[in-house]
Formats: sequence, C-alpha cells, structure tokens
Amino acid sequence: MKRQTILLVEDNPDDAALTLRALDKCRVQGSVVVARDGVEALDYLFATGAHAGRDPEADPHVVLLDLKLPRVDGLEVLRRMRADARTRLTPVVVLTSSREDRDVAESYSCGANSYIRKPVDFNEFVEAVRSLGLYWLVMNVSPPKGGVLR
Amino acid sequence: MEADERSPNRPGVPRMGLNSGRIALIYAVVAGLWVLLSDTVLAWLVHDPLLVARIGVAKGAGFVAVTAILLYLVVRSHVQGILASDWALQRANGRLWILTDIASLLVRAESDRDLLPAVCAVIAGSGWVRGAAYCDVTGDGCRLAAAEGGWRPDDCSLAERVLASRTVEMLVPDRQAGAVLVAAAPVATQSGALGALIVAFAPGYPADAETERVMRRAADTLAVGLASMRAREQTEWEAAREAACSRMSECLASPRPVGLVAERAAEAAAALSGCPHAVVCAREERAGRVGMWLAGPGAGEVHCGLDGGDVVFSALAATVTDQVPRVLTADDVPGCLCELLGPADRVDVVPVAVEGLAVGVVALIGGSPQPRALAATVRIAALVAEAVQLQQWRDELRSVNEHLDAIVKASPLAVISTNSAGLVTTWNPAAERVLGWRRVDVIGRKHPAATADCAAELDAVYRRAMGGGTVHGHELHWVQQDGSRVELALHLAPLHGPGGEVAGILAIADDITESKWAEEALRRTMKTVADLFGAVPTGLAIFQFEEPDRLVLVDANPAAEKIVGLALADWRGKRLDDFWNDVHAGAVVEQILTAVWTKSAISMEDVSFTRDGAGRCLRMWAFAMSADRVGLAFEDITDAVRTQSELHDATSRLTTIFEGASVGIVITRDRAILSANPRFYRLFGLPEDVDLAGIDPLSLAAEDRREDLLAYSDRGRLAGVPAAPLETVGRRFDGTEFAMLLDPSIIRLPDGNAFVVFVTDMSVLRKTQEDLRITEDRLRQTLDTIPLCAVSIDADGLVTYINDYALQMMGYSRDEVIGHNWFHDFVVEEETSVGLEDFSRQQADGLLTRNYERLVRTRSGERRAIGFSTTLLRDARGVIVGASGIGEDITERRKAEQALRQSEQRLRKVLHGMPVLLCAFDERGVLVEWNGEAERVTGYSAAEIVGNPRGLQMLYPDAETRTALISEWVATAYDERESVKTVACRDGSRRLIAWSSIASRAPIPGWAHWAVGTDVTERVRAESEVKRLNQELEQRVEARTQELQAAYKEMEAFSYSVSHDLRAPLRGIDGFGQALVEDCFDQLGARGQGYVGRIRAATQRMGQLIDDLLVLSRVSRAEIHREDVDLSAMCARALEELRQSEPDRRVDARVVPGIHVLADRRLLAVAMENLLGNAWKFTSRTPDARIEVSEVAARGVRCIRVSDNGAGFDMQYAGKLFGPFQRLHAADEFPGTGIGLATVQRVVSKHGWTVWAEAEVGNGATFYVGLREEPSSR
Repeated sequence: MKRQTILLVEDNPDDAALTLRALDKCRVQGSVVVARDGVEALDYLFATGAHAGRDPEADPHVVLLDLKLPRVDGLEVLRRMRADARTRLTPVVVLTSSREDRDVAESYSCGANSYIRKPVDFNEFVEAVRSLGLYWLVMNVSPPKGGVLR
Repeated sequence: MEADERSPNRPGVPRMGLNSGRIALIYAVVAGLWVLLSDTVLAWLVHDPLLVARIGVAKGAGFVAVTAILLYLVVRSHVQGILASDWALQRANGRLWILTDIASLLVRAESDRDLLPAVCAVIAGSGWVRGAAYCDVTGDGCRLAAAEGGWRPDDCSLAERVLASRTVEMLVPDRQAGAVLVAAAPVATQSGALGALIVAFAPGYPADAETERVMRRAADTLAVGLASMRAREQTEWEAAREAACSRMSECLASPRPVGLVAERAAEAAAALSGCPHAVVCAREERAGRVGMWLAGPGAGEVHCGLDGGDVVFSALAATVTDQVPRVLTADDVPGCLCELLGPADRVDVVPVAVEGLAVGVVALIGGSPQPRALAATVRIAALVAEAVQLQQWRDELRSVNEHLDAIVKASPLAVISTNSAGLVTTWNPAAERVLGWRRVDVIGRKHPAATADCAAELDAVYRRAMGGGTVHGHELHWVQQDGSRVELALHLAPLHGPGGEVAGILAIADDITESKWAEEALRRTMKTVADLFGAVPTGLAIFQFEEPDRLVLVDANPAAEKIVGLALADWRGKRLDDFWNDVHAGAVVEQILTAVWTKSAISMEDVSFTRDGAGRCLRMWAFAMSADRVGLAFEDITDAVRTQSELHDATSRLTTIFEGASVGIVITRDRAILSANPRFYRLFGLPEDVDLAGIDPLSLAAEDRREDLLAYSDRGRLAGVPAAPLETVGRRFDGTEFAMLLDPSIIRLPDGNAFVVFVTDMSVLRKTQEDLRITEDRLRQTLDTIPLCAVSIDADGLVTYINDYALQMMGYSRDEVIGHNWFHDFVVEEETSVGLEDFSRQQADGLLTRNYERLVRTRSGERRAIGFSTTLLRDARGVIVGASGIGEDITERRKAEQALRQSEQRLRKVLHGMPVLLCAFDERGVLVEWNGEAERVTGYSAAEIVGNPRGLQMLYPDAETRTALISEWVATAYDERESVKTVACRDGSRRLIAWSSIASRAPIPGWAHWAVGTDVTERVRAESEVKRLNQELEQRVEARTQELQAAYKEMEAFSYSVSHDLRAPLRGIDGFGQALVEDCFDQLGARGQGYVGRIRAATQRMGQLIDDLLVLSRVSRAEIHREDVDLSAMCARALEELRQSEPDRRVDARVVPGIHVLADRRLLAVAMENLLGNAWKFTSRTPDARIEVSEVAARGVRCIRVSDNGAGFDMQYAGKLFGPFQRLHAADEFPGTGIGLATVQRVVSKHGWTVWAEAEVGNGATFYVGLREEPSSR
C-alpha cells in the first residue's frame, strides 16, 4: 500500500506541531504536508507557485483545514477546492477551535466532509485525530483519481 | 575744418571718425610689420634655437600686453566721451528752452522788430556770450539785427539752416576763433515772418548753471521791458485816436453838404499828424456821379476826378471785400496813388463800409506798419461815412414829415400825439371837431378831459400804450368841452424813440355816436322780433328756395318745434317735402308753392300730419316773405277737433240711454212735462203718438195720491234739492193702477232747473221681495242643520240667533242663550274683554268679515275652541245692528297643534342644544338654520348669519374654496360623510368641521341642503400630534436598533475571537504539557509530573470557562423564537444524558409529564440543562438523591419548579446566585464555573420570565421559573 498524503493547513505552529504529534501517536500511515496559510494550501493543491511541479502522485487524500488562516481563509480555500474539478471530491475535514454555529453551518454548506473542533485537552485531541485519520485514510474509500466521469 | 553735420548733438568731439581711422591704420601697419619682421630679425640675431624660442615667447607676451594696455585706454576714453556728450546734451536742451522763451517774447508783434538789436545787446551782455543776433529770412533777402560791436553771423545761411533742421546747437566756423558754438531757435511771427534767434558763446565757455541763470535774467528783464513799452504805446495810440475823433466831430457839426466828405477826409488826415504816410480815401456822389477823394497830411488834397475816381476806388474796394486789413504788393497799388505818394513797396488797406456798402478806404503806405495811424484812420473813415448817411436820412425825414403833416391835417379822424411827458404835440382839425377842444388850447399841455371819468379812462388807456402795448378800438363815452356827449373809438400805439424806448403816444379817435345809436335801435328791433318769434303760440317756420321748386327750412320758432315735434337743429336744411310723408304731401306743398309764386297768403284747414306715430291736424297759413323765402304759420287743432267730436259722441250716447233706459224717465219743470222716454210711455201704456209735452205729471198718478204727490213735488222744488224716493201708485192709460217708485233729481239746464224723475215699476220688486223671504227661511233652516256653530248678536252683544248645532255643542237650550250676552255669559272669562274689544273694533272699522278664535264655555264647564268667521249685520240704512258668526269647533285640531308645537319645541331644543353643528341652506344658498353648537364653535350667532346672503362667504371667505365646496355638494348630490372642511370663525381662527349630510336621502322642505358637523379641530390636531410622536418614536427605535445592531456585531466579533484565539494557546499549553510528560517522563520526576498535571487541569478549566462564557454570550445574543415546547420531554432527555454520563449514580429523578411552555426551544434547553445539571451535581453527595421537575403556581404565576435534596445553600447568598462567576461552594467540593445560573437567568429574562431559588444548607435547593405568559399562550 502506497503512503497516503495528508495536507494539514494550519497557521499556528503549536497547533501544527500538536497535530503532527497526534498523527504520529496514532500511527497514521501517510506523509503530512503542512501549509501555513490558504495561499500555500491552494498552491500545493493545484501545484502552482512554490509547489509547481510537485509529484502528481502526492495529491492529498485528505485535507485537514483550519478556518482562521492568513491571506486566504479556510472557507475560501474550501470554496475554491470545490469549484475545481481536480479537488472537488477530495475529502476535507475542518479542524478548528471555533464552535460557532455559523462556522459549522457555513463549512458544511461549502462542502466540508467533516467538522472537528479542536479540544483543549490534548488527549481528546489525539483521540479526535486518531479517529479521523483512521476514518479518512483507512476506512473511507477515496473517489477515483481525476474526478468522476460525467 | 568743417562742422560734422551728421552728429550735431555731439559738440566737442570733432573729427572723431577721421582720427580713429588713422590710428587704426597706424596700428595695423606697425603690428603687421612687427609680426612679419620680428621673427626674421630674431632668427638673424640669435642662432641658438632654444634661446630663439624663449625670446619668441617673451615677444608674444609683450605684444599682447602692449595691445591690452592700448585697448584699455581707448575704451576708457570712449566711455568718458559718451558720458560727457550726454551731459552736454542735457545742458544744451536747458539753454534751448530759455532761448525759445526769449524768442516767443520777442515776436508778439511786428513792431517789436525794432527792439531786436536792443534785445540782442541784452543777451550779449551776459557772461560767456559772444554775441546774439536775429536773422529774418523772409522776403527777398536776409535782415540781420545784432548787438552793436558783438558777434554776428556772416550771412543768413546760418538762420536758414536753423529753420531747415530745427537745429538747436552747432559749431560754426569763425574767422577769428576758428569755430564758435552757437545756440539757435526758430521764430515765427503773427504776420508770417520767419527767422531765427542765434546766440554765440565765448570759446571754452563752461556752459554751466551760471550761464543759464544769466540768460534767464536777461529773458525776465526783456519781458518786463517789453510789457511797459507796449503799455505806453497803447496809451499814446488811444490818445491820438480820441484827438482824431473829436476833431472829426467838430468838422461834422457844421452843415456843409457839398464836398463834405472830401473836407472831412482832409481834416481827418491832418489830424493824424503822427502818421505821415496815412491816406484817407473816400467816395462821394455828386450830381449822380461818383468822385474819388484822396487826402493825406503830407500830400494835401487830391481830387482824382469824377471819372477816374470811381475806377481807383473800385480797384481799392475790390481788394477789401471782407473788410479785413490787408497788405497789398506794389503791383496792386493803383497808379494814382503812386503818383500821389511816390512808389511804395507795401500798402496796408483798411476798408470803410456803411451798412454793407463800402464808402471808403484808408491806406497806409510804407514799409513800417503803424497801428496807431491805421486804427485812427479806420475810425475817421467810419465817422465820415456815418455823416454822409445821416445827411441823407435828414433829407428823407424832412420829406416824410411834410407828407405826414398834410395827411394828418386832412384826416377825418382825430389824430393826437403826446410826448413821453404826456403833453400833446399833435392835435389836428378833426381832433378839434371830435374831441371839442381847440388846438391852440391843448398843444403843449396835458390831454384835456371834461369829466373825471373821461380823464381816468383816458389815463388808463394812455398808460397801457406807454407800457408798449397797442390799444385798438377802445370805446369811450366822451364829454366835449361844451358838455355835449359823443361816443368815441380810440386807437392808440406807442411811438418809439431812437433807442427803442417809448417816446410818446399816437392816438386816433373816431366819432361813432351815430353808428352806435343806429346799432342800438337795430338791436332792439331784432330782439323784439326774436321775442315775438319765440313767444307766439303759433308755429312759425321760414323756408328758403334752394332751387326753383325746392324749399328748405332755415328757421322755426319754439312753438313750431313743439307742434311738429322736431328739433330745429336736426331739421334745419331739410326740404319742405320731407315734413309730409303721407299722400297729401304733394297737395300741401303745391298750395304753399302757389302762395309763394302768386305772392299771396293762403290758409289751409285740416292739414293732416303725423307726430310720434299719431295723426295730428294742423291749420296752416302760408305767405311769401321775400322773393326767395316763404313763411308758414300753423296751429295744432287736433285737440279742438277731437273735443268737438267727443261732444257729439256724448250727446248721442245720452240720447241712446234716454231712449233705451229700462226705467221710465220724465223731465218736468213747473208741473209740466218736458219730455219722457219710451220706457215711460210703456210704463203708463201710452201710445207713441201721445205728446206729453206740457202735460201735468200729476195727471198720471192715481187720483187718491195726487195731493200727496203735489206736496212731495212742492217740497222738492222749494227745497231746491231732490227729495227722497217715494213709492206711490200710478195710473196707466187704460186706467189700471200699479205701484211705482219715483226717484227725482234736479238737473241744471241753460234756461233753469228741471226735475228728472226716474219711474220704476215696483210690482215686479214686490214679487222679488217675497221670493227673498222664502230664500231666507231656507237659509235659516240650513243654518240650523249645518255642523257649524252659527250665532248672531246685536250691537250690545246679546244673542239674537243661535243654531241647533251650536246649542247641542254647548249643551244649552235656545231659551237659555237667546237674549243673553254672548261675551259675558258664554265666552270664557279671560277672553270676555278681548272679545268685546274685537267686536267694538270691528264695528268701528266697519269691516265686513273677520275671523276670530274664541274659547266657549259649555254648560258642563268644558272649554271648546271655536274658529269664528264674523260678519257685521247692517240694517237697510247701513247702520250696524249686530254681527253674525259661523264657527267651527276646532278644539281637537288645537290640541293636535299644541302637541305638534310641543314636539317641535322639543326637537328644536334638541337641535339647538345638541353638541353637533347643524346648518341648513335654502335654494339660494342662504343659511336658514344655525344651531347653538354652530354658534358656539364658530362664534357667529344665528341672528347675524341666518338669512344673511353673505353667510356662506363668512364661513368660507376664500372664493375658490366656496366654488369647490358647492361643486362638491353638487357632485355628491348633498350626500357626504365626515367631510372635513376648514371654517373661518368670527374671531379669525380656523376650525375643522367634519360635515355629514344626508340631505338627498332625507330631504327637509325649505332646507335645500343641510348638514350636521362635529368640530374635529382638536381631534385632528391630536391625531397629527400622535402621528408626529409615532414617527419620532419610530425614528428613535430605528436609531436605537441600529446602535444595538452595531453593538451586537461588535460582540459577535468579540465572541468569535474568544472562541478561536483564546483556545488555541490553551491547547498548546495542554498539548505540550502532555508531550513533556510523555517525552521527558524521566527527567520530570514525580513532582514535575504533578506540576504538569496541575498546568493541564488549569488549562482545561480555562477551556471550560471559555466555553461556558460563550454559551452565556450566545444566549444573550440569541433571538427568541417562541414555540410550544414539551418541557417534560426536554427535561427527561437531559436527565437521561446526565444519567449516561454517570451511570453509576442512583438518582430518583421525576418529571411531571405534560408540561408545555411557549418558549424558544434551544434557549430553554440550555436553561433546563443547567438547572438539572446543577441538581445532578449538588446531589452527588446525597445518598438518596432526588430530583423533581414539576409545575406549580407561585407568586401569582405559573412556575416550573426544579427541586433537589442536595447540598443546598445559604439563602443569605441567594442574591449572588445568578451573577456570573458567583459560586457558593468550593471547586473541589462541587466543580463548576459559576456561569451556569447566570446563563439560566439570561434565558429566563429574555423570555420575560423570572427565576428565583429557595434553599437551605444541607436540605437541597428549589428553583422556580415564573412564566409570565400571555393568556393565549396555552
């Protein structure tokens, strides 16, 4: 089985480190790419800018997306992903501190597959990451590459 | 050396161009040679090349240095030269001005030329001036005037140059000094002479301010000197002229007619001793020919001859046509003058003219003009001409005077003249006759007058004429010296003296006595005729032939205008034919024309005429007045003709009446019948052929009545008045008798009084009376039976008759009524006196019928109203004997009317007093109803507005509003509801009235339009106020809402930020704490791990706090959406979740089922979760934990009660219970953030509910949520 790619979009380095640690602790089988803001995330997703010419095989199998991001915020990243055929079906898990109903509702309406609130308790956080990694990378059947036939 | 003419303004730099060229040439040659030869020489001298090069350099440097020094010198001197020449130019200009001043002083007159040498001497006397000269360059040659011994120019070429170039300063060559600097100014005199004043300066003069000062002084001195010299000359000249004039006057004083001019000319010339060259030349007519006289003091008298003189004079005169002094050349001077005076190169000629005719000239011969002599001769020549003219006028005057004297003497009119003193100077023979004073008595005296009136009037007239006015035809009643009176017509005109002043009066008088008398007589006659013409009642009209058979109206008197009915002004000039427009016109005009042609008078009767559409009748006379005029006199006889005809008609009518009368008429006198009419014949059965004339009328009476009749007729005759009618018995022709009534009357006939007796057959009358009685009986029966009261009373009010109906109504028997006083016994007491008054008034007025209403008392005491119609009863002589009345019982009607009236009064009171306006208009739009409320609201009383045609205008002063209002009425067919109108009140205020009308649906007779209204002014005002307040409120709410929304937005952003950003660091602390424990477990040790554990616990607690605060904030922000919530189910769910969270605990939780509330589901869930969570928490240490949710009534409202038997709390701190972060238990005892109850409080208060708690330490707590619900909520 090939190593799967996880795209973690997180501006807070603490959170990014904790997430990586959680993933690591859960022994999630996949390489994690960290994007520090929305632009970088989009660059990676569409292989543009700094990530132009990246390995096409390294398309993420799941995107862990924070909402509050510099430059382009998470909802906008989500919207652009869903607008593009290449990423339309990529699973996106919103991973954020906010528990605002508004954020939840908007994330789902923009096409998020899951919404996970980062708990303060690291153990809970590890548990959450573990379950999502288990679900999205192991149990979930990914859509066929290059999108569905129309 | 010559002057540089091209640079005249730069004196002192001579030959500059030449010198410069020369210097430049020398420099070029020397420098060229140096350049060419120096190197060769050097090479030749020195053989060392190095030395040659060094010397070459030094040589070049030396050449450059020398050249530079030279150039410096040249430039410096040039700059100095420019500065110097500028300075010189300024000075030269200053001098030139002075020079020009001097020149202008010099040349004011030609004669000043003599002064020029002196002037030049003055100028030359100044310092630094070598000399001064004046050059005159006009004429043939140059004339020089210069100071004696000083510098003078060689010739006039210098002056010519000055004039040609207007040069001011220049250098001129001079024999002695080589060159001399001169200043010059051109000079022009009035006579056209042109020259130049030239001043030469001494060599090397500094041309400084001193020079100019000297020159200025010289100019000033010169000006003063010239002025005094001219004044002296003027004085001398005046004296000489005076002398010449006086001399000439003496000469002219003695009359020497022939040769006068020549002598005077000679004498005048002699007087001009100071002018040896003056000549006086004059023309004289002698025996019709013209001679020429020349005279001069030096030459004596020369007569040029009668023939030649004219020629010479013409030649001279032709040169002086404009009477302007003129200079002649030698060619112009006539030969004879030359002979006389010798050759002359210049003659100044002055013409002498009298009234535009040249009579002489004065010539001044010689080169030097002498103004004194010239002016004197001009004056003298004028005097001579005047004298000649005077002599001619004297001769003419004498001749005219002679003619005038002859005319005055022969004049039939009185001619009088007086001088300015009012003394008579002329008094001709006619004046003696007309005015009645002899000439010798009045000449040289005041104008005579016999009476004071005449004198005063005459004086006034004379004064008017003396004032310069002309009097024409002034009529004067004059009394002559001998007292006889005449009428005068005076004509006066002022006589003017030589200076135009009034020097006397010329008066002409005419005797108009006879003509005035004749005029007066004629006027009187004319007035008489005119008065007659205007006053006679007969119409007079005068026609005149305009053509042989055409007469037009020229005049008519007022009577004619009146008769014909036409205004003279309109009809003057109309034709005679035009006055008749009927068929007879031709005949009438024909007759009038015949009268004229035959020169006879004719009269015409019954000339018909139409006036104002009615036929009139004229009697007319026509008579010839003169050959072309005819007079018409006419009278209107229409009325006379009509009277005659009416008389005829009256007679025939009388005859007809007499013949056809239905009574017998007989006319008697002295017991004898004069005539009787056919009816009389028939009454007495007399055959028609019986002649009754002269028969005794008594014979026609029954025999037994004859004596009575005789007495009757005698009584009447003696009394002279007709006796009363008498009924007696007549005897017919056949002997039968019949009742007859005689009614005599007296007529006055021309031959005495006669009786006319009307005889009526009474037998028929008797039968009629019987019929009448029967009718009366029937009438009475009728009266007895009709359903009306019929009562008759006599004059005293006693009842004479009463019908059955009345008796029945009143309940009396007839006997109880007849003979009793109606007013006292049957009319009710309070109306007795009124009834009596009415009755007596009716009697007094004599009115036949009157209507009364009386209350009558019945036998039973009941009062009944009877409406009587009463009629006065009279006996045969017309004396009032009583009255009868027919009456109707109107008691019931009165009652009904009374009820109606009361009802109406009630209604009226309601209408008047109701708090609703009521107004009504009639057909014309005039107010007919205006109730109390309307009066109160508008202030207009009913008295002033009802019936007032301006009523509507008072209420609605604006015409447009009224028009709109009426159109609205018409449009809505008087059907409107709550139509608000602005009404003008009496105090000027405006009130809003809401009018409603149902006039069309509920028409009221007499009220064309009516409406009720309510005063809604205050209501409308209040409504608008409410509306305004509402708007204001809305605005405030809007503003507050916006503020709230802004705050809400802010808070939302804050919450979001808290939610996100506050949690991230906590997570970091917790996560890395955990990592620390995991990764550095050994290094930390037990204590370190404990610290990390505490850090992590604190972090999580912080996270919980943030979450709870977020909930609280969300609750605060949340909007309420009420719906029916099953509280019981909600609580059960919450308890189930709690139970699952701690499955080990045994809690007895009970929820009363079926509790429903109207609330926001989400918020209520938050509140209930908190309350139940608390209960769960605080019962954790209670062995038999019990939680109960129920519904109770407390504090007057329905409440949800959540109670437990947990730890409870001290009620002392109940007030702090619902504040955020307020905790009543230690955290290690019962964990919590202290926000839960604050959230509950927030939810409850957002619903408008209340929450409170009751507790006891150790005995549990009970929370009540008081639902303040709307009644319909369940």
